[in-house]
Amino acid sequence: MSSTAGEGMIRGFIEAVTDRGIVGWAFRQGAATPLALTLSIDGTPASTFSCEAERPDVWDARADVRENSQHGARLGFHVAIPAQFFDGLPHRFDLLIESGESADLITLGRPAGWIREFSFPTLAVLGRVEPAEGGTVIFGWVVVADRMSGTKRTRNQVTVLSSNGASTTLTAEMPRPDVGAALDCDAYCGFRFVPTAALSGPDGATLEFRVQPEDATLAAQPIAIPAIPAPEPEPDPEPVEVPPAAEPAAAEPQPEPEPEQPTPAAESEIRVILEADDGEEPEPVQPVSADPTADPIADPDDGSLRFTGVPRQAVFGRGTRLANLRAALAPAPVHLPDGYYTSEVAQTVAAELDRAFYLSTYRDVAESGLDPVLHYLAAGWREGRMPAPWFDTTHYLAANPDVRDAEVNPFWHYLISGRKEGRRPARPGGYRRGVIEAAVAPELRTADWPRPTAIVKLLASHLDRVLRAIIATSDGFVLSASHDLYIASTGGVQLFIGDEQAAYARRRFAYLNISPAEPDLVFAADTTAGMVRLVLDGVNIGNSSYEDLAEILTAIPARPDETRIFVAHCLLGHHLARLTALQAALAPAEDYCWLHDYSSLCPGFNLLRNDITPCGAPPPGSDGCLVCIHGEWRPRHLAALQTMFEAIPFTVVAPSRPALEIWQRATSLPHQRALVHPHCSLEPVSARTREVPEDAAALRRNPVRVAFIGYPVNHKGWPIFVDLVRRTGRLGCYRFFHFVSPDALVPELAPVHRVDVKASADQRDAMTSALAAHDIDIVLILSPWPETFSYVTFEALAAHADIIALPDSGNVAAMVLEQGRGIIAEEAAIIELFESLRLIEYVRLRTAQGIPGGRLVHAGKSATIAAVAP
Amino acid sequence: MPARIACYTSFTYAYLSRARILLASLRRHHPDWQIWALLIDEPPPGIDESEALGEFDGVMKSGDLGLTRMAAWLFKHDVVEACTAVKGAMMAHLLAKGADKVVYFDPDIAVFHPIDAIIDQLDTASIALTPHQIAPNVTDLAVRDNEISSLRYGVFNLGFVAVRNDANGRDFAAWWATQLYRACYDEVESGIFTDQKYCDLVPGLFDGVVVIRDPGCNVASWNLSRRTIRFGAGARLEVNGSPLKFYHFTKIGGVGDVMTERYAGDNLEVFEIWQWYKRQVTAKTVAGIPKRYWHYGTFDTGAPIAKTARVLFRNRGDLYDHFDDPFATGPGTYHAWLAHEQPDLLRDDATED
Repeated sequence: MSSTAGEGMIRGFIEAVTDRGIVGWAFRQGAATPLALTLSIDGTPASTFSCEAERPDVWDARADVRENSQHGARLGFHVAIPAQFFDGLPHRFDLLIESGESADLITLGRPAGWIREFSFPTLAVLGRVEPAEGGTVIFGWVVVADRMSGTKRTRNQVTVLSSNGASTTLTAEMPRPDVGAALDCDAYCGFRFVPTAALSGPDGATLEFRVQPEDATLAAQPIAIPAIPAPEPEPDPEPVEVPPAAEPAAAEPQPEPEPEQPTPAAESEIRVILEADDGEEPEPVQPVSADPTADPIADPDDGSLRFTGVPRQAVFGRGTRLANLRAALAPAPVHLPDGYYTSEVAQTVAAELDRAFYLSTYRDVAESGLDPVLHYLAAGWREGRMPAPWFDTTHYLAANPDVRDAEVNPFWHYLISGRKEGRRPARPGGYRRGVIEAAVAPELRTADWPRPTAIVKLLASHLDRVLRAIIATSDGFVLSASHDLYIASTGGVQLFIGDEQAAYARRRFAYLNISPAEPDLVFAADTTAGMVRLVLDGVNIGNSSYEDLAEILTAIPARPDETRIFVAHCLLGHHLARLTALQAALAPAEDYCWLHDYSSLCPGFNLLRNDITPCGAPPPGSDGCLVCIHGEWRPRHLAALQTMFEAIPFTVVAPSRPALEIWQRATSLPHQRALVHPHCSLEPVSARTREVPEDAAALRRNPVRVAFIGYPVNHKGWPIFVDLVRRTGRLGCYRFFHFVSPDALVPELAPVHRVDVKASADQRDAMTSALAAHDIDIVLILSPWPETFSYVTFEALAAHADIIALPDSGNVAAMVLEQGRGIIAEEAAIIELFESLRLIEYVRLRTAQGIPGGRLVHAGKSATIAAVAP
Repeated sequence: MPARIACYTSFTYAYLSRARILLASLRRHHPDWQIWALLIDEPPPGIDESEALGEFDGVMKSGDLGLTRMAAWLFKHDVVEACTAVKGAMMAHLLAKGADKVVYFDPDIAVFHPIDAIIDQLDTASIALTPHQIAPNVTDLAVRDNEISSLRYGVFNLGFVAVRNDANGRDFAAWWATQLYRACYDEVESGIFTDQKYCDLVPGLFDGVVVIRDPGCNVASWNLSRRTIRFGAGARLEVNGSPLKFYHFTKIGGVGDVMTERYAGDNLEVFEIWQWYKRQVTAKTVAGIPKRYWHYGTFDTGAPIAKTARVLFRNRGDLYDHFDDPFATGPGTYHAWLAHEQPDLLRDDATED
């Protein structure tokens, strides 16, 4: 108890300090509300809590409490030790009151004025040894828990040491489902050990069980075993001739074995938690938090997360600060009067329903002023609303017909029963399942595309006159093939074709682009009309056929001073045999095939098996292709390409090295040469700096600014963005932006700020300017496929933003690493980065040192290849 | 001389699409096998049987198996019971015809890699069976769903069984056929589950039994809790590291979907395979076969036969002895007897199969 007397004085006790936390009780004399205390570790606040747990034992036992507590028995506390302090190092712990002074609580068995150093070992060896049948059989189990990472090791090696000096080893790998269920770990942790005569000796012995490699003792007391009779010797077998053993080389004196040294390092790192043999169920070391966002502390340095721009330790060495920030950003606890929720169902649901998430996700509920728990119970679950970002009501009912039929609240069922039974709170496989189910075979993907009702073909004689006139007045003639009308689209590839046309125009070359009059995502069949749209020097002049064009070009042979060039930008929708005949009629001096995508490897031109998993274009007869939505069509697709590539001596041009490497690994299509020719490069400009605040309130006013760019589609990673917003939008420390074309239909996603950006040939820097104007710190470029170039990546780099990308994102990841401009991480690691707030730390460091920007220099067209290629 | 291997699957027209998927997958990996369709059905109107089943090397109609009092006997079974009840007789038949080895697959199985390694074990062993479970389950739910279910419905999954044409193999086929002729019912409470539960006895009754514990075999929702499917090098499908030999697409579109989801978890590859199978079912569906069609599901008037009418017929020896063709209607038939004695069993809302 505090030594000061009277009103305002704090009374309390610390009853236990263990690795399970600090337990005790405290109150301020005369105060109407429970006392708030802050756990301070190494002088830094770690968490603040209220001493409000019911302690009827204290109330009953102490008259001074009954006299002085104004809020009855609600005065207990139990505060957990944050996982990052299970590091074996000494830390200074204190409990502080609001003024920042020590609460001066008395710790049992210690003098008053409680500032103490404690150290908590990282590893805890949990286990039990139970002799049975008089020590002739010994049962046990062992689990080694790493409290920093939360991992639990089973199937451990255990050395059994007899008091007579003999020893043996066993592996604890028998199933112990009781232990597995209680500790939430693999159940294969048990053993059944039968002592041998060698261990017992003639008079019995005691056994010690030591877990390896820590050599930690598993039982408090050695286990006594009786004398075990040696087994009857087997009758001598028939003599068998055995080759003589090799003689030892020399009778060297054997060194005396060194006495075994104790291993103090191991002792200080490991704490053995012994269980009293009282028949109780083993308890988990730490309560398993239902909240998957809780305390992800460990650095998973397993390749799932790669930083550039700052040292890794700079982001991972800030556990305490981030823990404090997380605590400060956590939604303020809602104080509801006792008995507010009357039913057991409501109380259970209230304990885990994420009120802030519910209210920020469902604006109608927030505006109605209804209590989120009562809303979820009354209507929300039937409307399929999610009580927390991690629980999918609709899925749970669909996956558990028994729950659906019972008409019970699904979240309540999960909390009281489903979780224990191993049922899943969300759809396994997540959004990827939806992608797999929605995948459409390549030949059917354009079924709902608008088709022209009639295609008017130019008179061949008219087209002949036009082409003759323009070829006669040009130094060269380029025929390029692409999949759509490049002048009508503002996509990256289409803009580059426009650039290419302009570059050739500067060389006085005429430029004729052809695209299928009926666009498609596979090659055209023989049954199609074979009509193409003609764009001559940027002007749509009408439609013709491959055959008419071929006939006309055959009749206009190239002059000696005229260069003819054939460029294949994208062949989808074209009839390859007819196009090949047209190329022959052109008789070009140069033939280029661009790898803007991977349609020359597979009709699934993103190389995503079933539109979801990067596949690297395996052999067409592989299992991967068998079960893939694109697999059935692929052989005929490849056969058409093979014929074309055998006829045309292509120079294959990739806009990035990763794209070319993937292509070369996956194909044996013949080609004359292959080269890398990027579309643009980045000229550095001065860096952008800004200060990212450290405290929660200022951070909420001035958050880290995160952008998603482009259409909300799977192959750009939109579902990951949605997940991030749902999980972290309510924290307020991130502001999410979506930069998208004004015509895009985007599902409503609170709280994301939409910014309309219309890029065009004239306004090439519209996106870069918009990103810069909004002071974007991080652009999420979450393409799950190996992008061949990614213009958006360059726009983000130019706009002084760092990038977060997935490892299999081709040139996106390559540019991030080359420029040192962001983070490459698997999806789970990206989510962890946001939830742990490590991203804030990263952005703080990056913006403090200055994030470079750049000016985009456009190059990379067929017209510029000759100049750079050997 | 290479072994002559006969393979068969047992189905009705409603499962023809599935049987065709199995057939195509077998042709791809075992082109030298002779593959039989065992059909417990008659074609729906407008379906030409020789065309519909023309891809198979041989077709055996259940009526041609030489079973005594076929119509009366068949009436005792619902569709699942009937399709399993003839498996033993067909196995004995193919052995008698001289196949060196006989392999049975359920029609809802697809083969992804050759199973030579298993068939080769029958050079020394006689009977190969695949257990539902080859690794212990951990969670309560998985134990209940998988292990307790195996205790109720049978340790081995009889979606696959293979035998050698030796004394053990022939003895097994004869014994199995006999049991199935006597009682091949879904009567778990009596200790019987179709053709499957009997086979719990096989390792005890016969020599030369080999239990196939390759995780690549008979992968299904009931063992996904302990199996993980991945694409390995060269995009090869592997189950716990072993090539995927055959997958059992049990109860697709129904409870199979729920259980697959429960145990596949985040193992997306399972859903890729599952989705592939659904596409194949659509692709291999023969137009003109009504959903859930079964010729023996109705009396000769087309009125559906209630399961209760079948159960009564199987349990009442006097009725079974008396009526040779219980599918018939009109005076002096089982149908007429029912109309008089148990009219409830003929009501439209009586439970169908």
